[in-house]
Amino acid sequence: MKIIDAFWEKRNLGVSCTEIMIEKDDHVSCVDKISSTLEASDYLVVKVPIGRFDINESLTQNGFVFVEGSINFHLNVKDAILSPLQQRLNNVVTYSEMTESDLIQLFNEIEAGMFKTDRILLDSCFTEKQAATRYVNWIKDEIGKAAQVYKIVYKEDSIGFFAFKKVGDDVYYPFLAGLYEKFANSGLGFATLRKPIEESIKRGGRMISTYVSTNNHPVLRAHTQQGFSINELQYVFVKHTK
Amino acid sequence: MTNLEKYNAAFISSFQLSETQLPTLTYQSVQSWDSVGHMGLMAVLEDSFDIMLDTDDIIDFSSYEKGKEILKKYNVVI
Repeated sequence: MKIIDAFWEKRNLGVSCTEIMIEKDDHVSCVDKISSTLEASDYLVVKVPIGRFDINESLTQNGFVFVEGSINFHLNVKDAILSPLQQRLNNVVTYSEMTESDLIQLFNEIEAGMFKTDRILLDSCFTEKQAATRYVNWIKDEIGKAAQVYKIVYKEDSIGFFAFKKVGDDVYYPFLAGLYEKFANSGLGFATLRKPIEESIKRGGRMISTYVSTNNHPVLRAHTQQGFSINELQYVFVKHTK
Repeated sequence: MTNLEKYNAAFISSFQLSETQLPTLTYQSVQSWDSVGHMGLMAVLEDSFDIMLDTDDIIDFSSYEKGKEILKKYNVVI
């Protein structure tokens, strides 16, 4: 079991937060340890590997609530798929690194409620503003750590974005992406997956690794349709202690 | 098969719906009409009516009724 003091959530959400990563061979009694030693934290997030029903059950008995599955998808970039129609659209969609004014547009879109399946937004103990602040701060933090943020453009319009970083020799991690509200129903969502693949290829990358919530059905479908395969799945439980 | 029958069949086969659901159908009003479903629907319509949709029309195709207007541009009257 790994215990992480998620101190950044105090700034983002206004609560102290501890994240606990259960490992495959942890004994079920680790849940008692979580409950007894960590309840000083306002908000607990526990990630459980699949197949540990004993731990799932114990967490539930200890007042934790299941909020989502977190799927780690992998894609070897040579296996990326686009349908002929998507390819036709993709040919007229471009991307480029964001300027300061592009970032302002992105943050405005996030503050207007861009991420509708986020576990913070869906949690009645948090507000839309807290959820948005968390995303904005996350992006700012990652830019400070050498991540890049790109706008996706159709004709003259910015339609969305992806944020992207290198996590291994030839592995890239698009850690956040989405379409802006005006284009949410356009069918262009595929580009938020495709453009990071193209940027990875451009940089000599071999593999993409990314995470999708099971609450986000359209994005799960889009990943499988473009050739991604499931590498790992974790159950996510949370508990508000105050 | 009439144009209306072909049009309806494209939606029914793409989204596994009944005909009674079609008149009020809009993008994301059912789980299957998402980005992936949208591209599938557009491909079926292109095949059914032997047309090639402009990219702007693919993007604007936001409902069952809106689609009828768009197809008029391609001389397909539903």
